[in-house]
Amino acid sequence: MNKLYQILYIFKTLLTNIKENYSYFLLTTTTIILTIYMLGLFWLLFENIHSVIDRDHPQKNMSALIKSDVAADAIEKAIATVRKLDEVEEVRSVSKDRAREEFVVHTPQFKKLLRGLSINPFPASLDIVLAKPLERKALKELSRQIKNVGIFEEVMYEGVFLAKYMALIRTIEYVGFLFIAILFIAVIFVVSNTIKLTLYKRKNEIEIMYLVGASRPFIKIPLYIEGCIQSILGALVAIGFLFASYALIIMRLKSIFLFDLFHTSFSFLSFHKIVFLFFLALVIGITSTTLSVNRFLQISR
Amino acid sequence: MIQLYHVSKTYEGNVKALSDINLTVNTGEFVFINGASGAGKTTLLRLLFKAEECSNGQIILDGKNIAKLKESEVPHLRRQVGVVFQDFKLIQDKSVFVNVAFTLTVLGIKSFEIKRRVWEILKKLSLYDKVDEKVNRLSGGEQQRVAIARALVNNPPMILADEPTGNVDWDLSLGIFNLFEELNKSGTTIIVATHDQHIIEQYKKKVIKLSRGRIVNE
Repeated sequence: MNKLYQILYIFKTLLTNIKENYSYFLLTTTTIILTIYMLGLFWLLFENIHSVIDRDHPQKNMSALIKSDVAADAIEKAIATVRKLDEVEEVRSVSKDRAREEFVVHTPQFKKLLRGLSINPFPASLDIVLAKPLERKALKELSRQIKNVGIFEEVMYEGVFLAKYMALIRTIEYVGFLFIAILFIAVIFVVSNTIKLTLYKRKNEIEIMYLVGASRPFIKIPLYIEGCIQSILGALVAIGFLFASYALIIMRLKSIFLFDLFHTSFSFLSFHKIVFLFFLALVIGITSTTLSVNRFLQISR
Repeated sequence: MIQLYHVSKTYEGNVKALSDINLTVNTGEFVFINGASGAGKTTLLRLLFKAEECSNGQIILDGKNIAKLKESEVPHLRRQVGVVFQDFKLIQDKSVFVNVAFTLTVLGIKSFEIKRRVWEILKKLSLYDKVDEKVNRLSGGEQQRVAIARALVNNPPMILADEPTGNVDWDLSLGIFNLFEELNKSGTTIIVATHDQHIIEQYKKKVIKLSRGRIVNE
């Protein structure tokens, strides 16, 4: 029965602490929200980039962009050469004007913008349909052969853009994770110091608790519960913001052509990753509480 | 029973607070520790509930050397001792009730029992009309009585009081000491540090006189 009353007292103390130090409570929770939000956003972004890069389903279409000022007979010769390749089934020539018209059909929102341009920025190209779907390695080899024909500026197929910048993406990813790790340590430092400030405010009370016979767990448990509440609340709000940001970005992407370029559907963080974000928030809360409480209680004992 | 054998306490900078203290206080005894300011009265009391560690010697409380108590055992020791601090050690922005109930709350006593005991002790110390008053709005004497109430509310087997009547008038002092005497008659060990000769003469109890950290008579 005594334990039950002690538990009731612990929760009562917890509520009083939050009420009396709500500004510190909000500061700590906001710091956790920002950290988890940044980490989640970074993770969401790179997970989706990877889903595009790593996807290697066979493809049947390529597009070869023709250099400017290439004579018509040279183009005809090139079409014939490309047609002779074993992997190629059909080749269709797309003029500069046709490319512009097709772009306008697919993305009418840019119609006005294009009307304002005095020149046609689209290159002429060849739409190449392959005899059978090829995987990325074979596509790369075929694009090299097509480029050797000489009149082509670039040979495009799904994923070529992102694959080209793979090294850069990986570097950004590593730097990003390093930044997150530093941020994580900094946040623990900031949160533990904020908790320490609330402890200093209650120094007298904690000292008296010791002197009248309160055990260490009795003093520490409300502080740990407070840390856990801040963590869970922080993670909840951060994931809510993350989902709102994700929905907003997808909505914006859908309204522009970029979405079609990737030919893919984006996804939110998996359940496991959301659980992991909660876990990280708890790590911040519990580690910060441990650091500040242990040092403080050592002093005020 | 409390036994001190060759107990010394030296603070940082080689400041000697107590030197070679040997004394015995039997269970149920009423003892005054007397001496001028700086004689070591407060230090001696603080050693008895392990608010300080002694530098040398042994302090045996009911057969247990409290110098060797594990950290987890210290709260159990402190729950057996009601302490009246010279500086009161009250939570200034909390009510009289919260301050007095604090000891009982820590022990997990039922709330209606806490209310009953707090009312009882506040009545004995003429503080029942101040129950909801914040401590920082009370006079020094009233705060001292709140500190005494908090020490007694748990009915501890031993009470240590450091200058418990330093801020109250003679009539209230007598009231407080009569209460101590009443508790002592029911078996509570009382150790009071005081420099007040009138009180010592009035109650005619065992006196341990300290001077510069040493016992000069017992």
